[in-house]
Amino acid sequence: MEQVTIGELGSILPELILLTGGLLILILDMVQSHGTADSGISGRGFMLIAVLFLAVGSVAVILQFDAEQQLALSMIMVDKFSAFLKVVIYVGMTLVAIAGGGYMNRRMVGHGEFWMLFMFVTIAMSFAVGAADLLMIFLTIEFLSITSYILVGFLRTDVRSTEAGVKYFLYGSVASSVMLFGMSLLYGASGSLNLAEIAAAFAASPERSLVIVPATLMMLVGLGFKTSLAPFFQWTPDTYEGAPTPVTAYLSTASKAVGFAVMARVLVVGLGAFQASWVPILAGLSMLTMFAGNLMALRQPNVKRMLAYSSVAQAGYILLGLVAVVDSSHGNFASLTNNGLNGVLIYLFAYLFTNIGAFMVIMLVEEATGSSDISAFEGLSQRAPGMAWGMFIFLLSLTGIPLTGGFMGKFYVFGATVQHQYYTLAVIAAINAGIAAFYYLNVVRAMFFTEAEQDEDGKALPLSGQGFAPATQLIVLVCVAVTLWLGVYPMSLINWASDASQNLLTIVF
Amino acid sequence: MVSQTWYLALAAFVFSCGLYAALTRRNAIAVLIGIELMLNAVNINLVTFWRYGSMAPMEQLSGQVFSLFVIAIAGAEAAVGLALIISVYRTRHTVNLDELDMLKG
Repeated sequence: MEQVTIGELGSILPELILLTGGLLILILDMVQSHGTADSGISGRGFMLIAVLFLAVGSVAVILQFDAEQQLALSMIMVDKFSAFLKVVIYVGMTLVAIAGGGYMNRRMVGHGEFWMLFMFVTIAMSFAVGAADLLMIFLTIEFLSITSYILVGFLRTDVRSTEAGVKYFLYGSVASSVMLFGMSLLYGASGSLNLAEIAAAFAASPERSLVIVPATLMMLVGLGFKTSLAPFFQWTPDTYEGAPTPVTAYLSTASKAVGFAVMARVLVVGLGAFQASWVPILAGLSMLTMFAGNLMALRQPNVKRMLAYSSVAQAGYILLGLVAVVDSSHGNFASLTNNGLNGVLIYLFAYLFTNIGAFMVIMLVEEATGSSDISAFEGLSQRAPGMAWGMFIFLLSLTGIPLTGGFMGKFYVFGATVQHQYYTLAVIAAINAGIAAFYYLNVVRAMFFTEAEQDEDGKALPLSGQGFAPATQLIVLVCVAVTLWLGVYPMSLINWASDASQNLLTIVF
Repeated sequence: MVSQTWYLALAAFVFSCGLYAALTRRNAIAVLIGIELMLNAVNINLVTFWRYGSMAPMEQLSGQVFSLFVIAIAGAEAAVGLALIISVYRTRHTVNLDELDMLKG
C-alpha cells in the first residue's frame, strides 16, 4: 500500500494556502460574532484576507509549473495541464474577489461566510482539474457544486438570488446524480476507479466496451451541466441573472473551465481508445449548443441574461476544440502538436479575462442605474466613457474580432476544426459567429449611438455611485489590457497552452 | 443466491423512478426526494459491482468506499438543498417550481 508522505504535501501547496485562508476567515468570524454586530472585522477586512491568500496561492501555482507528480494513490495529478488551468482559476478568482468584493459587502447578510466559501470553491476547482480518478472527480465536482449552490443563493433576503439558488441546486443535483450513475457503470465494467486503469481494463477485455456509450452519455450530462452545453443549459440564464454578479462572473469562466478540463481528462485518459464513440456525441452537442445559445441570446432585453446565453454559445465553440482532438479523415487522434486541445486552453484563458471584464462593467451599470436591461446601457459612452470603451473591447473579443484575445481562441479552435476536416461543423460555427455579432453589436449600438439621459442643460448625466469603486475600475482596466495583449502578442500563451495540451495527450500517442 | 442481474435491475428501476420524480414533480421537496432515490440507486450499483465484479479482487474496496462517500455527499447536498428551499419559502411562501418564475425570458 502506497503511503501519503509529507513530501507530497508540497505539490498541493496552493490548495493548502487557500485552506489556511478559508479556515482563518471562519475562525475570525466565529470569534468576533460574540461581540456586537458592528464591532470587529468588516466584510472588507475578510475580503482583504481572501485576496491576500488567493494572490499567494497564485504565486505558489506559478512556482510549481514544471512539477509532475501523482498524489494520494494516483487520485490527483499535478502536471502541466492542471497547472495551466489552475492559473486560469486562481487568477480568475482573484480578479473577481477584488472587483466584486465591494458589491458583495454592501449586500451581505453575514460577513465572513461568503469569503470562506469563496476560498473553498477555489480549492474545489483547483483539485478538480487534477482529478484522475472517478471518486476524486465526483468529490471535487460535488464540492464545487454544493459550495456554488450556496454562493448563488447567498443573498437570502433577495427573491431573485434565492430563486436562482434553488433552480441551480435542482438542475445541478439531477445532473450530477446521472453522472454518478454513469461512473458506477464504468466502475462495474472495468473494476477500477482510476482513469488509466479503466483504459487498461477495457484494452484487456474489449467485449466489456458495450457500456462505454451509455456511461459516456451519462457522464456528459453532469459535465455538460457544469459547462452549460445544449440540452442541459436551462439553468444558465436564470442562475446568471439571479446570482450576485461576482458569483456569475466566476460561474461563467472558472467553473466552466473546470468542466472542460475534467471532460478532456476523462475522455482522453480514460476513454481515449473509444474516440469513435464520443466524437460524434461531442460534435452533436456542440452544434446544438451553438444554435441554442445564439438564437436565444438574440431576443434578450437584459444584458446579463444575454451574456448568459452567449456563454452557452461560447461553450459550443470551445467544445469544437475537444472534437478536433481527433482527426476525422483517419478517425484517430490528430498529431500531438497540432490539435484542438490547445485551442480549448487558449480560448478558456482569453474568455476568462473577457467575460469577467464584461460582467464587471454590467455590475457597475447595475449598481449605478439599478438595472441591467439594455436601456440602462443607452448613451453609456457619454455617461461613463471609460466603461463604455471597456465593454466595447470585451464585446469585440466575444464576437471574435482580430486584435483581441477572443479572436485568438476562435482562430485556434475553428482552425483545428477545419484542419481535421470537420467541414460541416466549421460552417455551422461560422454561421453562429455571424449570428452572435448581431446581439453583441446591439449593445455597442446602445452604448455609442443612442442619446443618454440629459439634465436640464442638455448634458449627459454622468454615472456615479458606490458601485464605481476604484478597485472594480482597475480590474476592468486589467481585463482590457490582457484581452488586447493576447490579441496582439499571443505567442507566449500559445506556446504555453500547447505545452499543457501535449502533456495531457502524450498518453494516447 | 440472488444473481447480479436482479440487483442491477433493482438499481435501474429505483434510478428511473427517481429521475421520473425529479423531472415531473413540481414541488421542490418531491424533486429532492427523487434526487435522493437516484443517489441510492447508484449505491446499489456500486456495491453490486464490488460484490460480483470479476475484474478486481474483492479485497479492493473501491466500490464500497465510493458508496460511503456517496452517502455522505447525499447528506450534504440534502442539507444545502433544504436550506435553499427554506430561504425561498421565506421570501415567496411557496415551494412550487411553477410559481418560481421571477427569472424568465
